[in-house]
Amino acid sequence: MITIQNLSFKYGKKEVLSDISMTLETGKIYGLLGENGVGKTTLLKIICGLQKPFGGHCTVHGENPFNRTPSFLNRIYYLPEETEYIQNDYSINYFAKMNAPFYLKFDHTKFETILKEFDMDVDKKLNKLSYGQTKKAAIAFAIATNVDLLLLDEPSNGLDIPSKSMFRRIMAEYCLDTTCTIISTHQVRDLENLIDPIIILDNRAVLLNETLERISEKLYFSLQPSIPANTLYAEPTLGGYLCVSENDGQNESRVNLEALFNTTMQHKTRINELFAQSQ
Amino acid sequence: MNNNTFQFNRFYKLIVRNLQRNPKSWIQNVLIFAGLPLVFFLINLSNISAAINLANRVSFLEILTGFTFIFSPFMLFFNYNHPKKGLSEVMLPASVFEKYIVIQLACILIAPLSVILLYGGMDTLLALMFPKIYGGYAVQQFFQSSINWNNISQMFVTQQAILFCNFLFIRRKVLKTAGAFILSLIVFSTIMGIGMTIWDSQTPFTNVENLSFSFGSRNFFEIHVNDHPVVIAMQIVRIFLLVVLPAALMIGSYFIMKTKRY
Repeated sequence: MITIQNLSFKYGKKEVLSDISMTLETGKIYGLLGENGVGKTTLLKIICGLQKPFGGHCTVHGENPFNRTPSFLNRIYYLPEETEYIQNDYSINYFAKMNAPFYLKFDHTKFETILKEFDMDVDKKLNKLSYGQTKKAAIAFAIATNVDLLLLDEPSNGLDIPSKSMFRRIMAEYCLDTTCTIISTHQVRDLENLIDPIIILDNRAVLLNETLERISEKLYFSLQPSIPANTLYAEPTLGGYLCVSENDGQNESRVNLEALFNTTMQHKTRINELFAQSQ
Repeated sequence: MNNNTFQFNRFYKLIVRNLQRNPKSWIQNVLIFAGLPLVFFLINLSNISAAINLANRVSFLEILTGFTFIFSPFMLFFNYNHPKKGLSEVMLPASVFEKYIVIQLACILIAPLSVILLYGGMDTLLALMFPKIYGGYAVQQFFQSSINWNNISQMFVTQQAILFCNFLFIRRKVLKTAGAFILSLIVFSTIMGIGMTIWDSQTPFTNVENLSFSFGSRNFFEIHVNDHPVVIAMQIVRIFLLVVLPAALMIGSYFIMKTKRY
């Protein structure tokens, strides 16, 4: 669905993305992880056509996003981290009344249901809502568009604890199988059990673009009383150390996203080699 | 035209959305523009009518319409290219061409016509109801004496320059637009001054003092063989300012919309 080849991008002289390549498929919820400033938001903006790559190519359904044609825009929805674009002197219902007609597959019932589940006052003006409430309204609209490509930049930022778990449930329940969703986030714990595959981005390369199944095939996450010799990454935790090591013995373990991220950042070359094997 | 350039159904939806965009400002505009004749009427009632005669009411309508026409790009589309606030516009599934046409329609027709309709409508209503106190129709007078192509074309180029600046500048756009206008005026005056001085030194003007010429009596492209060189030069400058420049500004605005990065 999305093909990115040798993509590079600069802000002035500062190179943000360099020679990035990857392919993203329909029906998956990708988690886009990376340190601050590696270009996660920029990558989302390139995919949705708000930015133009400096070099290389990005195509969505074979189309150049930067052309911003109606047929392309009708199939994608980009939810930015800041929700200023939605904060107006009218209600979320009015916002939907104005904008929904442009999305051919917009589902009003789904929109109302999600708002109800988020416990939103649909008649309250958007510029009177808190950041978290505005975010919920924007999420409800984004999911209800039923687009083929949903790009969410830090969607759980600003949500309170119950809303975060509600968000995970809503995403799992209402996102269509025909939709490719990319969620950029720092808060991996908020999205655990939701995102799969995982993309870890560095401004020089895509360090990892793998499913959780394959990650657990290659890496072993365990709680140890002390740090074993072959450990790639360890962090102290209650009752010992959370350790990540290469999965030599085909053991099954549950992937800890934070530990995975830290392991990848500390052992970029080894992780790359490990996942390049038998691909 | 293919579906990705223009589709009537989408264009219609875009017009409707544009009208729905600022419900509060519509109410404010109705109150302000339709309320003004009412204020004048009340002033007339209080017997200090000398200041609010028909001529003054027409002048007021001229100023309001002109101001709205010229500054409508700022009034209606100020945040259109804002990196965050403008996303709901740029990501809306419609073509840049459709969005551009809607913007032009709103600025050129809808905004000034709304003022004329609201202010003029209320003025006419009051004049019909109380002809002795509130004599004459401002709208009628406005269309008879105030509308002429010379005024419209001058206002049009100013409006298009403001629209262009509105898309070109992202932050402090009012200040930058004012600066751009002042700078353009200085550059234009300097070029004209230097040009005239050079020309004058080579071929001294004759009978310039006696030259009687009104642009209002000439069409844009009307240049006669026996015209005074000053008249020919002025007509060429006029064609540039009122035809070439607005066309360039319109193309420029469209180009910025199409290629803007957020």
